[in-house]
Amino acid sequence: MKKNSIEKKRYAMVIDLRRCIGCHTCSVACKAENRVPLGVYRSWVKIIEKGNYPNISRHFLPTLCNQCDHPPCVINCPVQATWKLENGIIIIDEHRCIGCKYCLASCPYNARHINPLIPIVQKCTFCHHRVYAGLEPACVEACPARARIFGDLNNPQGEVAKLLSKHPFQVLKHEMGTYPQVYYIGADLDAMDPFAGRKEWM
Amino acid sequence: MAGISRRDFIKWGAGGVALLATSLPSEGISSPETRKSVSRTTGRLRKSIPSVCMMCPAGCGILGYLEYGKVVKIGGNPLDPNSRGRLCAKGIAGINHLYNPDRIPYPLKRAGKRGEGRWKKISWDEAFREIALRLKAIQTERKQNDLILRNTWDMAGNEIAGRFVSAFGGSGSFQHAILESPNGVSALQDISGYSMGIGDVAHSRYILNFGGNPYETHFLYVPFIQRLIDARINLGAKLVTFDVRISQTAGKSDEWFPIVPGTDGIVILAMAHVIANEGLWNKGFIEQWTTLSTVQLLRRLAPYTPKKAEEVSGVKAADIKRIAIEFAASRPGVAIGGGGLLKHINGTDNQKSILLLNTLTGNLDSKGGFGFPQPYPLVPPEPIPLKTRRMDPESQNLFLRVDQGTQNLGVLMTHMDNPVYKGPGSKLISAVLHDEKKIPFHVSIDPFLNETNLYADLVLPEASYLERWDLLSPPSMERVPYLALRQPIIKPLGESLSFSQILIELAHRMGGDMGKYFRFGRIEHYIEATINRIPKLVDAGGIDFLMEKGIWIDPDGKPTYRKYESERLKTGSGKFEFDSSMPVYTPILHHQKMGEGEFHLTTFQWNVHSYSQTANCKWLSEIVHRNPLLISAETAHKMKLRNGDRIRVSSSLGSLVTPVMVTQGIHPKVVALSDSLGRWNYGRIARGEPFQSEDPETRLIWWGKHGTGAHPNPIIPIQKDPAGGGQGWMDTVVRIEKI
Amino acid sequence: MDVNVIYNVEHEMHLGTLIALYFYLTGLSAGSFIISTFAYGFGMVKYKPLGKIGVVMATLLLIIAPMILLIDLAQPLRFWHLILYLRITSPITWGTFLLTLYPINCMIYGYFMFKGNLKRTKIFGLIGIPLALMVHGYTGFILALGKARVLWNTAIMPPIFLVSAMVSGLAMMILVVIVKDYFIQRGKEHDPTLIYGLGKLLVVSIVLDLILIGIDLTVLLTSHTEAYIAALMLLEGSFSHLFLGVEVFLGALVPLFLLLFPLTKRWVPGIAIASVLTMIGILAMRYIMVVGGLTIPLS
Ligand SMILES: Nc1nc2c(c(=O)[nH]1)N[C@H]1C(S)=C(S)[C@@H](COP(=O)(O)OP(=O)(O)OC[C@H]3O[C@@H](n4cnc5c(=O)[nH]c(N)nc54)[C@H](O)[C@@H]3O)O[C@H]1N2
Ligand SMILES: Nc1nc2c(c(=O)[nH]1)N[C@H]1C(S)=C(S)[C@@H](COP(=O)(O)OP(=O)(O)OC[C@H]3O[C@@H](n4cnc5c(=O)[nH]c(N)nc54)[C@H](O)[C@@H]3O)O[C@H]1N2
Ligand code: SF4
Ligand code: SF4
Ligand code: SF4
Ligand code: SF4
Ligand code: SF4
Ligand SMILES: [Mo]
Repeated sequence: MKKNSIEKKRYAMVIDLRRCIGCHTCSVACKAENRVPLGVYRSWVKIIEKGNYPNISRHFLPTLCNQCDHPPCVINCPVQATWKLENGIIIIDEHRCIGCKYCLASCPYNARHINPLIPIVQKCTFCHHRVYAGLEPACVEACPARARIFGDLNNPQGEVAKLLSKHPFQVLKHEMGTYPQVYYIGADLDAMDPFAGRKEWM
Repeated sequence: MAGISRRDFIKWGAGGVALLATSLPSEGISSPETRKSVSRTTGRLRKSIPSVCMMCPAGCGILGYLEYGKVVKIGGNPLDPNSRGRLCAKGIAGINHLYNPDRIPYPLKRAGKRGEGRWKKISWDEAFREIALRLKAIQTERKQNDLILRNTWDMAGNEIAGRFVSAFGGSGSFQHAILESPNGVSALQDISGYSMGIGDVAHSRYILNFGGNPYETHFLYVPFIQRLIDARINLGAKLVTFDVRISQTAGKSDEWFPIVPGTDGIVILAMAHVIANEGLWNKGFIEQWTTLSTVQLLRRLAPYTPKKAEEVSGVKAADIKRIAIEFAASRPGVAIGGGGLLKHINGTDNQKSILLLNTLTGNLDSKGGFGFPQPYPLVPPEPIPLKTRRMDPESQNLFLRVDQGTQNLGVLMTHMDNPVYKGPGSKLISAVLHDEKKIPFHVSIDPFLNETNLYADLVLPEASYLERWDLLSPPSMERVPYLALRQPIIKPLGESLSFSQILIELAHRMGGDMGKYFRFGRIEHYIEATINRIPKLVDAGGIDFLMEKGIWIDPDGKPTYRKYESERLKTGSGKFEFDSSMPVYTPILHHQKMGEGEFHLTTFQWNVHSYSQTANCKWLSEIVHRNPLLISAETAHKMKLRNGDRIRVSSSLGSLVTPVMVTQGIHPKVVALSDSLGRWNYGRIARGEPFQSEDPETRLIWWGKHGTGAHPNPIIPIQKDPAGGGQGWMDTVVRIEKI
Repeated sequence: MDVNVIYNVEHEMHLGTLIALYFYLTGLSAGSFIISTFAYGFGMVKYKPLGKIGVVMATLLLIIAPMILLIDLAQPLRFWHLILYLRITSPITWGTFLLTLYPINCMIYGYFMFKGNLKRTKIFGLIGIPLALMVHGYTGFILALGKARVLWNTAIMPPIFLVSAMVSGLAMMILVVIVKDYFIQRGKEHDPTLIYGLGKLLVVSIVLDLILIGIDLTVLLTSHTEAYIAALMLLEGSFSHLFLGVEVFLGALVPLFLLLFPLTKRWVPGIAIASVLTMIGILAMRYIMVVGGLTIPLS
């Protein structure tokens, strides 16, 4: 594709929860790829169980930075240390970030963290360094169930666009108006609800 | 196909994957070209070396990525026809084993009393000399059978271990866990002559699962689950699971039926009864390919009515009938079993029942049915010593026999074996190991100190699986046999040596007759010699090809079904033998006497842990480090228990204390405890303690304060299936009390 | 239907006590500055004794406060990025300007006050008022624009912060005057009417503050579920002791009682107690807002 074609790339991820097996491979692949230290996460898999015996089901919700199209973290960063690339990926300039942590507080998805070894803010970047080299993100590549699909939303032939045009999908916290670029197929409302099943908040 | 050039072959190799991929209905698989890794700092492509994972028995192909001489990441090998370049969390975390700060750096000799845990450093020379001395001593006494070499479940080291023991003149080499349970193997062999059976789930439209947990475990985890998922999404396959608790598989199945533990057999036979009586079976297949006629079958199945099965198992007769009819009507369909089926003292019959159910619908060795993938035959280099018993289900009970004095033991060598932790009746095992009279000399070969080699006299630091050579042929999901090469991604760290290399060195030290069986000198030469006996592979480039690709797929292999039509089955009659091996349901006796307040104790595996192997992997223990007892909401309500309350769980062998996790998802008569956590001697990471080391992250370990679990095996008695010899892991009866 | 969370990760809370303290100190500073302008900006002679104390306190507090902010930065040495790479949509950027201009203005204002140049004092006092309001108001915006956090994300947050700044500022002034009159200049004759006057102002601002809190709570309680849960967290959940006990009861109702009850309203120790309690109450409020706001789970 020509570099300056009219159609810009818009990277997005589809997480097809009909496929997901809740195996945490994505979380560990991310730790391995991005040297994410113990105690913090760029990606994790929430697992819930619902129903009453014997009618019960399990639901998984792998979570990562949504690369929001309208990202509160970017709007609130005082030093332009985080911004949206042409292709939609939100990145952080680790040398510019002053560590005020305002973006951490602003992100509705808990997607950012302070690296406990080197005090800077980090998060999922859709493995930008890999995407740049023409590779898939580490979590996508590893996922044994092929539940994570990555690609250009603007490419009508791509798997991402195909899946989203065929299936009903969900995004997290739609009401925040952040326009997430991580799309879920078959997400369970209780798994998406931060309060469901948390007895201390009921 | 003689004369195929190496270039052609490489093309085929890559194309082969694509070819197999197109046999799936939709959704592509990323090409090998996108399976690479770049440096995060420089963006340069990382060098990669293909090898094979050993974090569980599945043996997925991996690529070890290197940067500045360090392994920086483990990825999947896209040429692997089974895993197709995918991995699981454990596979990726293998790197935590490699660079684990608790690895044993050099040979250790016991410094204090046995079991005290005090060690001193010795040289390899000293270690070899001492072992050779001990071995020679029993050799001169003509007590060669007193050498017992216990090897891991990993198939690769078995030939060399067996070779060592038979060259020594003994007969005691044990592979202590035969993928899953000896029960499965024995049932399969009796009926089909094969020792391995797997559902061809990629092409099934109906998957009936008894006590398997493929979403989290399964001995071919990654290869198996990806096909099962493909079938569910692309073929709309229905998944029905029978399990005593809501595993992730059960929780994601179309239907889940909780069942009384150990009663799967009668439900399966009742389904067979329904299919037979409704005439939904494949009569032709039964008459032609089994040793039973349909008339005989009908008679033998007569007692197993759905109503009877309901009384025993708690699964409603109407459901049994409905599922049986559905199963028979949706073809191809397959019934599969797992640990929940096999790890009982009636497990052999349970597995036979599964085979019978697949037989009734004609789904044996058929597309989407129950297949028998065979490994590629490997012939080791000459001279080959007389064969010994390589696999011995009796291995479970070795320590019991030693304790009773029916088994002599002079020298015990254990490799990647942790019976004190993963065995039943593990208190007895540790007592026997502690006793120098019963076990005069114990050498452990392992990269880590664990609960078992705490009682060793010598601990030899083993190379991890990322640092050694093995040649394997995992059961192929695509039904074309293939070879996979495990090769060192880096040189063994510290002074460690691989298991095979240790045996080779030792054989040479023993001198005399032994050396001649180990003339090849190094394990890689042995592997090369084995490879050189496969002309097709030699044509493709031999060991160089394997070292470059990691995988070799037999170019002549075709994914054939119904092999029994072209190749005689290795059973007496050449048919599936059901007359002599007709499954029956035998109730588990001690379950019949259970009173109020008594529960079945089921054990299970977490998806991110492998038995006794992974608790020291930081990335895995960070995710799952606690091991609460799962208990039903009903029981919890009766006993006024809330999440996190501590209870005492007691069996006939003793008791343990653990917090509970209250769930709706478990049979009210069952409590469940995972067997992968609760370590008492497996290093600091497994204990959840932060500490300073070369890895700056070890000081960030945070989960210790949440508890690191209790382990069920000390209270699980040794109980054996008389038919197949397998341990009844899931048959323990316990009482629970709040403390 | 039961829902059971089998696995989820706990996220560390990265903003906390230090930020709450920062908000508190800027609030105090803004409050005391405004009080100091009563005399010098608006010519209310009665408050003249407060002018100089006010400006000194305002300046001092505003030198300490940003230092706390700096300590809280993960990369404090990069603070100058705030000026070089500023992004105008971020309230922290607004703060950067305000925290530069306001102390400068304070110093000029103070300089002329001490010089006795009343005209210039008045000019800079009047310039300073909107600055002081904004300095504290912007902290309210920091929370208000954190739209991920239901407790913060309300347009009423800046006014709440302003009014509570007045409350704590007044309370501090009362205490300063009491300390000055009864301890430092002991024996000298003094006139408690100033204290009574400040007490009345304090009553007005506490009432105003309570009204705003009431409005906030009402909206939380009647808005969407997450807001409702946040309100419950304050009313009966993990922050209820701090909120109802310390912020509302000790920090507002008890002082109101002391300041209005005929037997205590002219009793200087009573007024002192009321002031101390008010200051504690506002500190609690800052803490509840920052930490409580972050406690509510997002995932
Ligand atoms: N993550 C992970 N994967 C693994 C391993 C591991 O340790 N961890 N180990 C590997 C090895 S060596 C093996 S053998 C396989 C084992 O893997 P599987 O064959 O899947 O067997 P298990 O996990 O032992 O048990 C499966 C299920 O049986 C249920 N169960 C218990 N009793 C009964 C019963 O009476 N009836 C029924 N229907 N269900 C019952 C349990 O609740 C459990 O969910 O996994 C392999 N893969
Ligand atoms: N309660 C209960 N117990 C069970 C079961 C159950 O279902 N329930 N299942 C049983 C089954 S099916 C199985 S297969 C067994 C498995 O049990 P094991 O065979 O004991 O388990 P592993 O986890 O494979 O690891 C054994 C040891 O290998 C060592 N190790 C790790 N990496 C390496 C390496 O690279 N080289 C060497 N030499 N050693 C290494 C570690 O020290 C570890 O302790 O457990 C059995 N135990
Ligand atoms: S790796 Fe894939 S299947 Fe596993 S939890 Fe993540 S998204 Fe789900
Ligand atoms: S998910 Fe959070 S960190 Fe990611 S872009 Fe959206 S607001 Fe920013
Ligand atoms: S922590 Fe860094 S990236 Fe986040 S808002 Fe502050 S300066 Fe920006
Ligand atoms: S895309 Fe990369 S950074 Fe983001 S969650 Fe996946 S592996 Fe982690
Ligand atoms: S399933 Fe996971 S642990 Fe097992 S071999 Fe494959 S990657 Fe390794
Ligand atoms: Mo096993």
